[in-house]
Amino acid sequence: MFPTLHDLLGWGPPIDTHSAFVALGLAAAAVVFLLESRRRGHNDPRIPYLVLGALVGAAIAARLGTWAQHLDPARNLDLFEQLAYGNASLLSGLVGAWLGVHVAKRIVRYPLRTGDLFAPAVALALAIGRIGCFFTEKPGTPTGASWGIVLDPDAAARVGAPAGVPLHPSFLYEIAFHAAAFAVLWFWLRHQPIAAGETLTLFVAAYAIFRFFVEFVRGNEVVWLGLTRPQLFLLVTIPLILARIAWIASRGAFNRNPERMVRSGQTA
Amino acid sequence: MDRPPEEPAPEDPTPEESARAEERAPEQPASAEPPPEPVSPYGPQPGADAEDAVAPDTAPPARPYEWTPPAEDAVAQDAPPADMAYPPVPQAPAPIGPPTAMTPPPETKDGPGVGAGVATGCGLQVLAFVLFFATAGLMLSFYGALWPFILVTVGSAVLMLSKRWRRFATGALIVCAATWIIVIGPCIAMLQPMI
Repeated sequence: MFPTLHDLLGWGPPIDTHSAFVALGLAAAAVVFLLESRRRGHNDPRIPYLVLGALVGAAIAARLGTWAQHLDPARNLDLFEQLAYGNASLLSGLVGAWLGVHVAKRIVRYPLRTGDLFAPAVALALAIGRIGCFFTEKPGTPTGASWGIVLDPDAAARVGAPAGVPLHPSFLYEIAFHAAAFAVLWFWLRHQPIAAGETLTLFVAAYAIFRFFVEFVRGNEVVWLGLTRPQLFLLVTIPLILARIAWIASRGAFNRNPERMVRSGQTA
Repeated sequence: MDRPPEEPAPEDPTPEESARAEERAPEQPASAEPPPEPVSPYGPQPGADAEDAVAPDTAPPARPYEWTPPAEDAVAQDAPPADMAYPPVPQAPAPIGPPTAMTPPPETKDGPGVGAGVATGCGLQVLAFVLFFATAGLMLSFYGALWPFILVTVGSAVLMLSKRWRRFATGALIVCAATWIIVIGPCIAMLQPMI
């Protein structure tokens, strides 16, 4: 485990490794977002408000999402503590960002779909941000595979994992998924004539399904029916996402018809 | 929802035509010649004789509306197909209404922009960190030490009320939100036992 960049690199200031990679991921996402906005001709002055909505929504929801995780309220942090330094959840952050963009759209009256702008940026940000998780958090459940990560006693005690046992590198699985998703989005899907905004829907659906199965080797607390909290959340949301995809697919949103892409972009 | 810009009708004179007509008016009485046939803005129709076309120097046809595609890989058509994925929105005239993406709301351009706000926001966050460490020991509670971050955020939010400074404040608030995601939560969790 490398809690600070000094631990990771052997030199430099003791900056939190996780934060450094999250910052790197956000910076890369900003560049990708700007490039994609320029390529698609989205130069509306209201776009920065949508970015602000996404970030504020993610910042709030990422921590509120793990707030009431105990049925006994005394075991939960109070609201201010939770917002200040409570556990952050990626899934909650994604939901918050989505809500934040929609709220911002309503406020500034922006009618167009913007998921295509966010999809590759989010994938790249998650790929980079998860590197920070890999270096600082519990890797996963024990495995007999040869690629398992073995922690020394100090590192194991720090992250609450067994020492001397090969563990699933679940964050490496996620990094590989997001890197592949970014490549697919950047080099192929964004050039396909599908309905506006739906690349984000496809990415989120793919990640939700992938995450559901990764949770089995992630090492998060099992709370009910052998499932973790993220799995319970995904158990509800995955059918909704798939139903939406089926619905828009039935309306031809994924047909290879460029007219539909343009028209849906104007009317969504 | 989005209406294309008004396309000039073929028979409507352009401002240049109107000015030219006024100049010609004294020497070309209106009753001397019959008015010319309306000319299609899309050129001669199939089957029409080439001689029927009016020379451009005498009566230039109104220029047809040219639609610019929103993206380089998007191909637009004027009429959607019958089996279009999303049904067409009724093109009701809406001269006054909420601004659309094609007609962004007028913004005051004389104020500083989003980029300036992001740059200033980064500087303010660094300053907030310095103040956070400088004053943490003076605060009665740990959360009181967060006042520099709260001050920057509240100040930026207040600036959003000003039209002139709104874009600048947006940039500053983007940095505030990013700082919250990146730094404040994890670092406060790390620093709290130390302060």
